[in-house]
Amino acid sequence: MDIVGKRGWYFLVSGLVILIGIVSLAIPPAFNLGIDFTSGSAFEVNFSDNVDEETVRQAIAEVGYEDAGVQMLGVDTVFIRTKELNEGDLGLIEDSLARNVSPVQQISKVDTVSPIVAEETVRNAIIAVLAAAVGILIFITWAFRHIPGSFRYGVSAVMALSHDMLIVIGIFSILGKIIDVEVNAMFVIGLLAVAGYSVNDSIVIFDRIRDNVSRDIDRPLSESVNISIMESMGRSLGTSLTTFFALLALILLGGSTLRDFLLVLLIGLAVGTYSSIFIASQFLVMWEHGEIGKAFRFLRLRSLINRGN
Amino acid sequence: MRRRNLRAFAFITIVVALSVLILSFQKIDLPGESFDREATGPLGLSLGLDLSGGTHLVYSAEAPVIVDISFESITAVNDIKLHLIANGYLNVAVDDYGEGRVSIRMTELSPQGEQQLRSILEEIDVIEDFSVRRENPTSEQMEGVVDVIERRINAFGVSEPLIQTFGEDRVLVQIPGAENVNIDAIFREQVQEAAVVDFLDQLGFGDAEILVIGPKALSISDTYTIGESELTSGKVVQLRSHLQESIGTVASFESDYETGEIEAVFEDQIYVSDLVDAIREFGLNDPYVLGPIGTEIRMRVEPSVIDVREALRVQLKEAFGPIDSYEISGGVEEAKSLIGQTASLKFMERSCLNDTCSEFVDKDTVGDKGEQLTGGNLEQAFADTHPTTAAPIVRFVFDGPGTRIFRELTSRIEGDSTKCVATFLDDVELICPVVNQRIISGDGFVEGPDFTYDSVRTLAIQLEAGSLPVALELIRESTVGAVLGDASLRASLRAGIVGLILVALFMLAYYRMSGLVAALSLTVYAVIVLAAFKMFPVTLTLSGLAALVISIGMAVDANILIFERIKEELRMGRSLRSAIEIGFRRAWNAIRDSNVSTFITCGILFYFGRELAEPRIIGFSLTLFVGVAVSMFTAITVSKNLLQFLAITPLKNKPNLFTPERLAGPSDGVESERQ
Repeated sequence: MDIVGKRGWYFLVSGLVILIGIVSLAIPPAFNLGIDFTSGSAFEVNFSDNVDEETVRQAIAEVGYEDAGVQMLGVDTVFIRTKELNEGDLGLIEDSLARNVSPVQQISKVDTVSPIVAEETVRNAIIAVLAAAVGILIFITWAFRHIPGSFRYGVSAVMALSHDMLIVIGIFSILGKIIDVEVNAMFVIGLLAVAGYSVNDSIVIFDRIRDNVSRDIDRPLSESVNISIMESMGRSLGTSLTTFFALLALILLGGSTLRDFLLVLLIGLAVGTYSSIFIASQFLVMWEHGEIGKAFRFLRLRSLINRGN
Repeated sequence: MRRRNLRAFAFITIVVALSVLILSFQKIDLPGESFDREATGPLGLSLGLDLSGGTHLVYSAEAPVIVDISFESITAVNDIKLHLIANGYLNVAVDDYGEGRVSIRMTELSPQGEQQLRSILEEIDVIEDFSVRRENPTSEQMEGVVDVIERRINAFGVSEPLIQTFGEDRVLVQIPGAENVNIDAIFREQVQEAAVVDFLDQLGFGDAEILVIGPKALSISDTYTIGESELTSGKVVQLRSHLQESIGTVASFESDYETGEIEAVFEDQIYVSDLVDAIREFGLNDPYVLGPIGTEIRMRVEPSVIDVREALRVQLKEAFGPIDSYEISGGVEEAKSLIGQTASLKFMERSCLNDTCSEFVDKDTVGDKGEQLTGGNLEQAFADTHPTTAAPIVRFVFDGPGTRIFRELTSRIEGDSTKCVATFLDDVELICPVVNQRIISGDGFVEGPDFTYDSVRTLAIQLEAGSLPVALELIRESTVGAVLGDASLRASLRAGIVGLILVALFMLAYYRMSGLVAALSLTVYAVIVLAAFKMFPVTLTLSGLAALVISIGMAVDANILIFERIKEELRMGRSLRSAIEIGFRRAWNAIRDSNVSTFITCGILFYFGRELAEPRIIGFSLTLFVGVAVSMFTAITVSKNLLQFLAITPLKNKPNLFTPERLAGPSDGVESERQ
């Protein structure tokens, strides 16, 4: 199967997805920020019976507060954090609680709470990931020093990393606009995990390319890359499918509170696997063929696609 | 080969056995060294706030008090300030509004205090108008409070707390770990251990553990020895009548001027603590009281809130008689005291040495240019012991300006035996040393009568993290469930197990014998990883869980990489044994490089997490590091050795069992391609 030959298409598809993501990020609000990042309302509800937090969570979700934080204080009192409540909202919640959970004994005064996670955290996470990218670039360049153009491998891995981050961030921006998916502290952690996975996966494919390049130094790189991808396809599918199904089981059968977080991992995993084969490796070939400069010069992907075909 | 495998298996068995052993004890306490690991989570793991909940604390900021006064005539602000300081109002600011009108700002003032303050001020001038108001903390102050608490808790080492401003003047703090608390009670009378156990059991503290019993009663006599260095007959008489008034009828009161001790016997039973208080009230310095000591019992109870513990105290008192001391420690107690105390440190120059005198040089002119010297000038603070007395102290190092001000202050009073540097913590004077020689190095220490080895640790953290801009009062305390919901997490745990079983089944079905090896290898991986988390110790939070999921993925990947390479080698017609050998070697490069890159990522994330004080990033990188290290270890040892072992069993003739695809022909023995 000729995977390398159609490389223009992969960049076109990825480019489009990233572009849509960036457009969505450019339209404020960039994200549908959850209660971790925004100030919200908090109150205590005391029930006349013992309750369990999952039932309370469902009752609140029913009136539109899916992402509310619900924590037990003892056995019959819950501490609830929601997005900022307006006049009358509390009444709705109280009704739903009384109807679905247990008679409400007492509701405390509703107070504003500040964001749990400062916006700084996001910025700090980005700084940390950028620094890690530099470290990875240096390491890969060193680890691949015995084959020609080792620096390109480092750059390509970092390219794939940025590609994965941008796509996941973009998808969550879009999901926030169309189906109200919120971005919370877990999202940032999920991104860190995706970054770790992305680089790991790229290196595994690169290792195969390293193998094939050093075995036959005269073979064109594009051919070596194609062989390597085909040879490691079994492993790529094996690893990503097992992890994918394990995550899917968690999303479908697990509790509601981890769902958004697992969604980040799931999307990240899929994108990370895709990018190792279709972005990182192809970028190497494009560099070899001098297509990157051209792509920048014309800023038109069409010419690439024609050449590829 | 065989011998090498045997050694490897012995090693793996030891590691796994050790890990299982580590996980099977809820509490690990090695004798000798201060190594103990204890947590309430399953398998003795410590879980973060998001996974297992902790303690929910609400603090209320105490509004600073502003007293508006109108004097009959114009009075110099400085005089007012010095007069107030001389009368013990240290933390005051005085603003002049002209024509005799001034405002005094202070942290707290009780209603009785208002009257007292008024009469003190009337000593200066006639007061026309006197009114007291409270100023609610500003939102900047509240943000400052959150910042300081965050710094303190991070320095204390609690992972991922949750701190929010709550309403206008409150702070909500949730900290993980509602670990058992220790209640140290000293009963006035001797109490039997068994009786206390039974009693706690009846009250529903069935799980309570009684840890320390003792010291046993020294004597049952009611003779108390009161020590006082400067005993005069006049003082003894005065003290006797003072004690008669405040404690109860004194039966005998004999003094020994040589030893400076008084033997006192009271007609009724008294509390040692009351006696100490009464003697302090009388104005003796450093009194010590020796008397019959009852039984000290340390009870270790389930995490409980303040109300429950106070109720227990009352019940214990009813059952076993008076309790002289009832102290709570352990659990989140230390963290709680860490959060609440203002910890404002202040240095002043005092121009008299008598302990009760209070002639201060204006507090604002400690430095030559009139700068103040406070806890804000500290760069570092750490717990230490006094070089000669071994008493607990907090050592500190001033920052640049602090060093200069301290040098100016100490140069000014150098060698002057009538002046000393008074050091205040939250407006209580701790020490006032005279300066024999100017201090240019910019470091010093504070000691205090109530300092303990635990409290100096807390205090050092508080001083280094900065003092709270407003005083806080704990108004609500409760245990709290997991942020992510206990029920929801249980469901996720079940789903995770289902997911892992699915992965194992897939590997078994697809890679057959190799899949079995992988399943075994992953089980070993899980056991070692959990044991490593416990020993480090790593507090597991959602960030840790994310890292764990990724590292499981990488562990699966390592196995799959090996199997795929073996499959290829088998396809080329190698014997099982050499296919395993070569396949592993080929896969190893990929496993090594990808994992090393992950280590580098972890290292960089950890460094930045530390630098930027982001507990989530720290938790993630730490857990990922442990997870990947263990995954690499199990890939090298468990997977490889198991495969090599299988290759020398009769299974070696059935290479088909090790690969997902039918091999073309009889393959055994073809080793011509060995590289």
